[in-house]
Amino acid sequence: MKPLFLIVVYLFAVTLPLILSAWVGGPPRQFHQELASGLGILAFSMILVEFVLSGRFKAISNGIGMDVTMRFHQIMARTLLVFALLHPFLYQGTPSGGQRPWDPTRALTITTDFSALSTGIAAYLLLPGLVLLAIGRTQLGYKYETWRLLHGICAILIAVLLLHHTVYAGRYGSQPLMAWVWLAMTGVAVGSLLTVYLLVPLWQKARPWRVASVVQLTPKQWEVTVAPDGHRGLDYKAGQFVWLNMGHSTFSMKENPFSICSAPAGGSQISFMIRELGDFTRTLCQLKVGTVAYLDGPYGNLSVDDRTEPGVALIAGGVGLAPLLGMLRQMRLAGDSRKVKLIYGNRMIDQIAYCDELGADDVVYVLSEPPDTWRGETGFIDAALIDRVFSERAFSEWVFVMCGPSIMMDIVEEHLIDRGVSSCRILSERFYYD
Amino acid sequence: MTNPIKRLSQRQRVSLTIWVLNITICMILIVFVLR
Repeated sequence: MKPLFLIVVYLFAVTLPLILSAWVGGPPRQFHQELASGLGILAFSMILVEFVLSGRFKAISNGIGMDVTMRFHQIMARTLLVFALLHPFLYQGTPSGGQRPWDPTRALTITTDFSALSTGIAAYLLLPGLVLLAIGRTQLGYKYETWRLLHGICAILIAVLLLHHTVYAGRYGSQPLMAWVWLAMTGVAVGSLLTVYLLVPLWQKARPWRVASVVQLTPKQWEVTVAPDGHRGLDYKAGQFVWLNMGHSTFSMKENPFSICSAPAGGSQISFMIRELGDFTRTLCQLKVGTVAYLDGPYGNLSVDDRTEPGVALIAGGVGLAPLLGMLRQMRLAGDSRKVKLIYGNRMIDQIAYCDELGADDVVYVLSEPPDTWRGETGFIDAALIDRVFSERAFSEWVFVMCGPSIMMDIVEEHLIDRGVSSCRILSERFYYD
Repeated sequence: MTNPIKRLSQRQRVSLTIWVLNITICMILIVFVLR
């Protein structure tokens, strides 16, 4: 889906409860009470929309990219946290309790009924923990699957607690229409998570894959190829990625995102270029041929299939080669007439993968720690290198695709924009979202 | 003249979008409060 359409849908979903509350609610109260209610309503609706911004919904993440989807999810979480933290403090100076004879409809009264407030207090305590643990996930050293399970369970718990709090303690939420709206929105949010955790695994179980080969490319990089087992395979575009689960139950959280480095034109088998980085990737050397695997995907919008530019510039750092290799393979297999040039950067010579396949024509190898015998480019992929490799015509006409470390992508993107390359001709996929 | 949005990096465009969204949400909140 188009970014502008998604932004409008987001704004509509987030503000709908607020607009409906203004419509069904009673007469306005004091400024600070209305502000408190408004902040609470917005925070809750933003929490619920966060569920569908988890990156697992292709209609969203394949339209704007997984990295953009996740960044949006993370930044909006900070905004909603501020709204939620402010919410209770603005009710100050309005003690209440029990039914007020002069206010039979509770239009002017805020509840102090503990059962209704307790769920809000519990969610109030859990929410900062959820956000802070997510922000500090890397530093805290959580296993990815442990964090993901905790994040999902905690999010569902907060949503259910807030539904109770909103409907039983909220002046607007207690209106029948609003109670149904909140129930429906919470149902969609929790349902989206259950879809990812339960329905998708069930679908995957019916479409297993088998490990066809495991090849060591370099001392710390492997190529794993999987073949469809009893089905026709995956319909994907070169440059996309999947969540890969190898040797575990489909309901296991042990799945990781990997870019596909094979090409759709190459057949139904799918290959991944994987670098040893985490718990899972360090066990690749023990992976046996025939091991069952499950794929969830394809995801991502890094593709040059529908581009009309006369040339494609591929800029890869390390294992960032994977999606770009898929594109290169697809272009070669399909006899694509577009010009193509690849810059492939690594630290050391033994980290260069697929050297024989890539060849020397239109490929520029870069090493930051070259051996004495190295005759290629040295240093990092920077502005000077980009200027040496690409012509003025390439800057004005080609599409530039890059994948690699954040620092490399920032430098290259900034320089390309300085050289007049329009941002719509710069495609990228980041490994890290924050 | 080049569209200034097209001279922004992807991260800058995402940040700009989020700022615009947050400001819009806050303005809707103000309308709700002051209605």
